[in-house]
Amino acid sequence: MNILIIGNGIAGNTASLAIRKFNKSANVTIISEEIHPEYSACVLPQYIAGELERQSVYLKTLESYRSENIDCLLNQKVHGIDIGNKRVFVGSRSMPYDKLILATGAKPIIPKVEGLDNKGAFFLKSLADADEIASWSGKAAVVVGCGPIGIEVGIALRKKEYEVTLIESLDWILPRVFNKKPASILQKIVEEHQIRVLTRERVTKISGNGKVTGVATDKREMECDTIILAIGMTPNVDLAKNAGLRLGKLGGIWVNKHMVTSIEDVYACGDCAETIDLITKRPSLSLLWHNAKEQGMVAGYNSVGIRRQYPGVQAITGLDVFGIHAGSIGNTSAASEYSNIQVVEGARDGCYCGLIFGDNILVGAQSISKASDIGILLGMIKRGETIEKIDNILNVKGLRVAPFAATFRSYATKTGLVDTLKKGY
Amino acid sequence: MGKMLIIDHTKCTGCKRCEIYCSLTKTGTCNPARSRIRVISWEEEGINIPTTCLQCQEPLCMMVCPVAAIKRNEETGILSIDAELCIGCKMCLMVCPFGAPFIDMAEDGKAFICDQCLGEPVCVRACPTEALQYIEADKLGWLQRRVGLKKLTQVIDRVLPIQP
Repeated sequence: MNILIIGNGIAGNTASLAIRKFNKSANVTIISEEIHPEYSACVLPQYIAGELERQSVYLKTLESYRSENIDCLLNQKVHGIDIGNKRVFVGSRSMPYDKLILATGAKPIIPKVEGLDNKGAFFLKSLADADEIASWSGKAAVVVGCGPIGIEVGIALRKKEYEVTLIESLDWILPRVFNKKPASILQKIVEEHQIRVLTRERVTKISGNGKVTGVATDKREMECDTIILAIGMTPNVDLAKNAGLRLGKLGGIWVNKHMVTSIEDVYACGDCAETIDLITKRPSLSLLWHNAKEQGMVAGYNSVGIRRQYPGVQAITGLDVFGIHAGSIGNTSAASEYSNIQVVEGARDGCYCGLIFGDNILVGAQSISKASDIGILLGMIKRGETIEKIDNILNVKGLRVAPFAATFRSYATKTGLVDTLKKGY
Repeated sequence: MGKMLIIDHTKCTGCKRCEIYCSLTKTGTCNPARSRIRVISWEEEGINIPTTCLQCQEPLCMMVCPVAAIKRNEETGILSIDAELCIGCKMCLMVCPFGAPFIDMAEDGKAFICDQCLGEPVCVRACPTEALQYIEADKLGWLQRRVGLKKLTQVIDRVLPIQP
């Protein structure tokens, strides 16, 4: 049996490992358009900052593939799929498959501004991008987009002594990950390290003379020699689309619970695939490492006949902001589709805890400087714990969720919820 | 076959010798904050539950680690975090349902979990009431774990009554 995997990221590699767990004899080939063995895209900002050696970015060596009996074709682009004859076109030849796993990942969204072709304007997705940024000698950087990638690369450049300005078109930084209050705390931390933050502002033009000289926004102009564009990622679906595979509502490759696409024997997993949210069950693109890994595993299982189901994506994000941990799980207030949202939050001594309830059920949690034991809250979100039950769970001694408990207690006292809770004892 | 840790919390007195012995063995310091096992207490109800890494079959920590630092030993099946690879990002802390991983600030802010002392768990030897045992992971072992879990759910029901 021939199993072809297009894409050498965490989804494709996890699929290959899952296959080998159950099937030692199938021919398994990973085809990648990059020249590198598997590496971790998550740690590229740390590499750029000079905190992580380039060698440590890699997760595999070429030898790793050999020892797992997996063929890895690097620097080869798949430019078409012949669904009827079950072949993929790579370079000037075609390769047959019995099972095909698409793990083509995602690519940066390109903003509609002129001047992108000036030297000094970068996207950050691949190791090649990171190498370019790391070896670039600039002095003043503008980062367009304040999602996790924009924030992390902005911090990395600041650590390399760039002057850094972060620009965000929405109302606060990390708008899809944090609520307003924790975002403003993080903004303060970032500003304390001399990073300028501009929100509710949109970049309209990049100026340059072959090299970047500045940017214009809808409010001002500023000089810079480096621009990082980080306004979001979009699934790589061209191969799938051209082959006639169905796309989902949000533009990713549609898959069912077994990670099978609209065509039998063709699977998709990772950033390129559109699945559902574990909690809300709605279509979701949650382009995160652990989601890609689990989807790759499920696709691998199914490709060798084990009918495992994928339960859905989970939003789990952790960031290091100049040594301070910021974490968010589940939904933010903005992302929720509930009729009644309650936010229970408190901040003290540089720490923040927030619980988000939708229709009286825990749907999200956010923290600053309190990473420990959020896993317990993650379990509570998955189980759909009600606001009444939370109090008991949070007050267990030894659990390091004491700050959440204190925050909850204070909220419960203020709002009279404590009377409702007392009845439960 | 390998062995597994089973916990009978009805025998736990909350003495926390396990925490002391663990930290002393693994770090050379008598410091419960650096212990890989923790005792959680409901003091009013008199219930103490030792918790540690339960060596999940499909660990959430392994799923989120961005540098593949969490590995399972092929021979023993025991999970551990490779301190050389760990970058201290705390993703594992964010997802473990049992709160097992923790950051040791005395070790460069890296994450640690119980690795069952690679086969000879010290906490088991230290426990004066046999609340912690290390037994063969055969059918009888799993049965014992189920019994322990059943007791646990009964207790949890008392302190966390399920609302109608």
